[in-house]
Amino acid sequence: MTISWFKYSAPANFYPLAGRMIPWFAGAAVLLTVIGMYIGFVVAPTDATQGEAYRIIFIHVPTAWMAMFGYCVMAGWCAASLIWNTRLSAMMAQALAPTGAMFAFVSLWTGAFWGRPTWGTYWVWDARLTSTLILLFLYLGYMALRAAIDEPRRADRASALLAIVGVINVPIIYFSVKWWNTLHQGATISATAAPKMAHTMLAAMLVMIFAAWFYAIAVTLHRVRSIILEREAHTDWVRALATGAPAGQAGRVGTEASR
Amino acid sequence: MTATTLQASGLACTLGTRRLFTSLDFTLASGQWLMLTGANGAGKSTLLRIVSGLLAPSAGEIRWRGEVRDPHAPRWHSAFVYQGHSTGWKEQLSARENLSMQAWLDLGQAPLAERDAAADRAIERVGLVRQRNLPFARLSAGQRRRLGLARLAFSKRPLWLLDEPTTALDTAGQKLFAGLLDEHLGRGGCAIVATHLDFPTASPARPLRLGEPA
Amino acid sequence: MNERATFAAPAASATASDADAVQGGETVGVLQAVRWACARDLLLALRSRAELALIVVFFVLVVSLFPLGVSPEPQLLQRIAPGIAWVAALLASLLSLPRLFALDHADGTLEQLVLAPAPLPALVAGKVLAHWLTNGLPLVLLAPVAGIQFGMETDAIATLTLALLLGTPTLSWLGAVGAALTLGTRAGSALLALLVLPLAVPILIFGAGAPESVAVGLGAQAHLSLLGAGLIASWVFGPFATALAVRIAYE
Repeated sequence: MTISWFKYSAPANFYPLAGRMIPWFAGAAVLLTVIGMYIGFVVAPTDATQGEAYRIIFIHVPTAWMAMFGYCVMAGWCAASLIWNTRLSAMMAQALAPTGAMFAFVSLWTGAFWGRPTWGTYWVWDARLTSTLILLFLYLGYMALRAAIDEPRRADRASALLAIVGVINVPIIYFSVKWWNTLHQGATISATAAPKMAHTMLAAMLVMIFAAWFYAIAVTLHRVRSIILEREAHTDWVRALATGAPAGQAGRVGTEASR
Repeated sequence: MTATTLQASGLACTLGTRRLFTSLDFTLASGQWLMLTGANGAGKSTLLRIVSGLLAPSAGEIRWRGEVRDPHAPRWHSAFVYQGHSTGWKEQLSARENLSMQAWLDLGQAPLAERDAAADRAIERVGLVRQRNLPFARLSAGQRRRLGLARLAFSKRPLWLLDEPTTALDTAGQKLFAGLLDEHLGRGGCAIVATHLDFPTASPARPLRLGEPA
Repeated sequence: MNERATFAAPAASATASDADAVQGGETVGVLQAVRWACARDLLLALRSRAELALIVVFFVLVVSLFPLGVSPEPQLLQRIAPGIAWVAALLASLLSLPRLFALDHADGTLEQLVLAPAPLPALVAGKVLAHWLTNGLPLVLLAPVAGIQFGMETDAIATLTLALLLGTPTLSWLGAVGAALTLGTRAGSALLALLVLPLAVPILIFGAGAPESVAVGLGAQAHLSLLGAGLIASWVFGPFATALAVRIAYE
């Protein structure tokens, strides 16, 4: 049985597929979180220099990484939506943004909680924290622009252009912030320098990264389903869904234009 | 003969969750004009914007002289005059300056003297001679509309896309517009005019009525 | 009034020249489009001179607020001067950006520009050039004044001026994309600030870093080169990104 991927670019066909995928990713996320937290908070040894407080790294690093990765993925969806003019790509980007923003936010908070016991201050202007802060602004800008434009397709395209301009700038921003940070080395301390990793610490970190990844996928799929329903409310299959028509009718939408 | 023909097939447009039209076809030959009618919100302005290229349709294609037109190409833009709801003039400039500036784009970058002359003739034609050096902000709504007519008067482009061109015009203004339209059609041009007001034109219209939004 | 071309081709000859007559007006080349759009915007700016002066006053005002809010201690001021000058320049740019497209959007002339027989990126470039000449260049010329107010050394002031000269056009493009994207939205200038300021961080870092570097005795070569690279990149890509954003605003 060949899978026709193109078929799933129509929201109507992607909707049930997403629904089937969510439980798997959610389950995997929960499982991996439990494992990762166990390894990180119970099994991994106490750090020689930072004591117990370092353990927050198991949340801080995965969330920081996911925030950055998420923005790139979001920009990828945006590029796809502009190049191929597909609605679903734009909806995926729209669904991913809040999760990415949340990761950036959590990363900043956990960075602060790490900094306090370790360096005595809640916030330091080191390269990664500052870059993550700017990344948070980029996410918020994307979401704010979306919210400010009423017509959904126009909002798709405008925010897509913004995200692409943003993703091109992200390495430039990171590089410039790093430069700025090393220049002023005396005043700042790198709060995010990871302690020398024992194997268990590394394992916990990796597990948590995957946990965060699967969580992000599950939540994004769930959110995109709501978005699909909201934006496709005028189509036959959504109306059928709403009135409880038989399942067979939901699939008969293949030829609808994807613009 | 294929000169000056516009052909639209299978046009569909969905704005947000509103389906405006699903499969619209029409053709326009040289010397013909399409009168676009329909209730408010039926999609008249949207259709004009689709034809002009500002908006992309969800489906369908538009051909100009047999070839599918590139909506963003300057070449295509030089084939028509589009007048939407906004008057499209700068408030800080006078009527004459506005027209002269527009003439640079409309008349193929003609030199200043030629542009000013064309602007003057057009202003005379539409009866704005006394107001031509006033700041645009001081003109009444009807006078502003007449400036739009002046642009039509000196334009050489074959296709006119007009959205409610007679709003705010008095009877004399409507007669003026009708005269301009008849002349344009007589020279082999064509037009799509969205309107729900009648004006005394001598050329028979081909009506196109858009239905209620879904 | 017979000097206007007729559209119907005469029966005798159906040659290319007749096709041209029916075709309508000519299209405009890139350089002429840039010049026309720039001249147009400069003329319009000339008619609203008061608003231009406001931007300049705003810059001076913001710069003057810092000693009041921080401390008038000369050594401190000298150190933070480049940063203050740049932040003030960023804010002043933000203030003036909406005027780039919003006014034309409101009265319908932007729509006509999108439909003009000229390449839209070229028209947009002309507008941004005019915008920089009337909003960015005055800030560059004012920089020495701010520098003197803060007691900067001459070479630092020169570097600051050069950095602003290289950086403000890039700012104009970032702002242009932001301004085009926010056309027609109800959100105020806060949204524009949220969109533009994070992207402007590199310019701020290198722009303020250059005079600081010179003041400490190190060269500002790297900073200025990077600003120059940004300038070139923004003028190459900016017109297309902004033209796309303007078209999106009209969908």
